[in-house]
Amino acid sequence: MINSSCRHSDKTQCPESIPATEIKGNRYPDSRCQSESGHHAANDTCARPNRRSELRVSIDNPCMIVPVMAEGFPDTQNISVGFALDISKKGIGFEIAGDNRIATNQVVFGLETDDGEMEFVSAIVRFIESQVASQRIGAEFLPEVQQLFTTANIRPNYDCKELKFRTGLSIDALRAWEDCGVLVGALNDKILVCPQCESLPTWRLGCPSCGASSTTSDQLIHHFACANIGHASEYKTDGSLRCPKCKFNDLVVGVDFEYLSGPQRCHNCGWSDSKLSPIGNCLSCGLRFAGHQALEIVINGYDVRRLDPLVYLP
Amino acid sequence: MVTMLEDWIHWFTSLEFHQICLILLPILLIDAPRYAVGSLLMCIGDIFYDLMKVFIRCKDPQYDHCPSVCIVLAGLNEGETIGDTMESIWGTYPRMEMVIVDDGSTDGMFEVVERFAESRDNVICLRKTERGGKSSALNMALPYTNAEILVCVDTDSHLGPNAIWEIVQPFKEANVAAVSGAVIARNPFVNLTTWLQAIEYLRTIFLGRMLSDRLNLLGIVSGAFGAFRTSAIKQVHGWDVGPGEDGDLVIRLRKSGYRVKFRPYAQCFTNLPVAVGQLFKQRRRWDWSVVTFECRKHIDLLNPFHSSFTASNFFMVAERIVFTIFFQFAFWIYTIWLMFNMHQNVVYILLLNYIAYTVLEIFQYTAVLYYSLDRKRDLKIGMLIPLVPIYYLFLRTATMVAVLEEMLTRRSFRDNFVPAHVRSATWHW
Ligand SMILES: [Zn+2]
Ligand SMILES: [Zn+2]
Ligand SMILES: [Zn+2]
Repeated sequence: MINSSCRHSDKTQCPESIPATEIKGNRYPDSRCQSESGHHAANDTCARPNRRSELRVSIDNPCMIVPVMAEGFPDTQNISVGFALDISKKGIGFEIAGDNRIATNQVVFGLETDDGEMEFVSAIVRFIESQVASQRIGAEFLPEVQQLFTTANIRPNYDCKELKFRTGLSIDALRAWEDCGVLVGALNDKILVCPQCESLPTWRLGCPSCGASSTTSDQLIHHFACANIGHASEYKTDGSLRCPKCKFNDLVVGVDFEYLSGPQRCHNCGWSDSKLSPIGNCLSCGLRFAGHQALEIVINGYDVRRLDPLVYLP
Repeated sequence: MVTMLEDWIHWFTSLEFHQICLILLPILLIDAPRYAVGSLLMCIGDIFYDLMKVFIRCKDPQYDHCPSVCIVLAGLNEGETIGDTMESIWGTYPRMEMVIVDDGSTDGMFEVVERFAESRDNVICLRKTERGGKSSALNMALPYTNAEILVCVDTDSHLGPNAIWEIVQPFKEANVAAVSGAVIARNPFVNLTTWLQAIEYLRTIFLGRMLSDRLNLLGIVSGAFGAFRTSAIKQVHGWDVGPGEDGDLVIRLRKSGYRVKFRPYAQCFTNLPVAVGQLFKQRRRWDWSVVTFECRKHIDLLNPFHSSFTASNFFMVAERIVFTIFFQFAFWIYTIWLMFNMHQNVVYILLLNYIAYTVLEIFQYTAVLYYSLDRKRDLKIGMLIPLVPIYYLFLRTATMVAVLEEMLTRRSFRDNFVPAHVRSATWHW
């Protein structure tokens, strides 16, 4: 663990004992504290690298730091880039150029892997040590539940109380993170929702005129010989089928006639047509609406490449 | 050439009057009375009537009849053309619904229709999974509509301006059950075949039906553009199995006591067959039905003791039988007789006949131009009138072949115009 205090000392791990030339990641030779590694307390000159129980490994990969503002928005004005110095299971030390303070304590830390991809993790800044033209910063990885880019935050989840799809972070925040190159759009779908309250409705086929579900389809009979097409009921005589047009008796299906599906009829309003329409019923506000009235909304989901510190540890 | 013409004139002037009559017998007996004289009288009458109107300043009649209309489009594999047709018709009349029947297409026609129907109320699309033929496709629309008038339009046709307004006007009279629109060539100048057909359509449909209508002898409504009173169609249970179902339906409507009208300015522009083979096949189908329907199925119209006998139905059927069948045979028999008996002058005789036919044709075409809506176009179409007598020889051959094969072998019931399972089930008149 990277501490902002120096109550512990660990001679074997303390960078003070390591000659400057051996320090990896020190790209700022004019730095006042060349011999010191970047995990010293930021504001406390007497603070000393402490003893830690965690194994840490020196690295020099490029990195980026995005401060996290209120409601999970990235602070796109204050993105810093620099170089990582060392990494452990719990945290990371890195150095950034300039003396602009990182605006917030909580940051998203991006580390470039050996194959050039960026991997991200949410972290909290524990100490900052100012140098002549740079700052050395130590940050602690946040535990899984406090990570910014959890599945619940970046993927749509169905809220069964409100009957809506939601993401933990607002869609604007997610878009902003996508614009910074941290998140990648992974799911983009459209759903039809209630035009009144945007809840997910139930769908069924019904009467396009009044929306009722009580409809029946008439069956038609096509008598091949005379080309008559009429309602099956017109053909019914006792026991056999008789064509109302040509008075031909004892019709045999397949040879003499075929069944065709006829007009759909609504019992509620008397409408008749060839086919039913999809009708939506909103269980949230009770609205019934035709398919073409439904509101089409886009469902966005995102992916992030997560930084796994264990990859760097032996 | 010049000497031959001089010889011909010499030969012609040497003929006695009765000889000329004998040589021109087919014209004098068949062609002149059937269309030419009547058309000319009608046209002269109308010219006087129109002049009268100018003097007494009659107002042009407005469209004052506006019944609800259901457009029926039935087609098979018309995915390419049906979209334009639907667009051209939709919205040209206020009280309009549309029923489109896909008779088992495999070319995506139904998808085109569904897309069209999606954004419009009052458009119903129906799909038959198995082809049942034109008649059953048209009948399929009947259970779906309550409109007063059914207007059938071919899936590859375009309607002229106000065509639907025009075609529904005669339904003001309660006993009119069917109105035929005029079918005009949409592609007259593609080649010689379509050009000559365009002349023929103007003369026999546009002008010819005007005359039949005045004489109450109209026995056909074009399948390409016709309107029917829905209640009457439902009363006779719609179309019978074809080919020739259009004519058959009209005869059955007339049998039931209804009248049939023609509306020359309800115009429909349709694509005519381009290839000679196609044209020959089409004409054979048309002429088969004269044998199947007029001579066999509806021969009872000639029986004066039948309960539904009327004089106009008698003359309508008699006219078709006499002119399409009897005089066709007479024409060929006479021609052969002429060849044998006056063979030394065959060329002169042919030339004389040719000139007589051409003159007759020009007279009638003048009447066409008098009624025409687009004189410039029709004048251009008329440029090929000198070839028309030869074209009619071709049509007579097709009629002859059709009548013979239908009389002797009932050829129409082997034609794939109707699918096999329907053909085997229907009656072979
Ligand atoms: Zn039947
Ligand atoms: Zn309803
Ligand atoms: Zn709702």
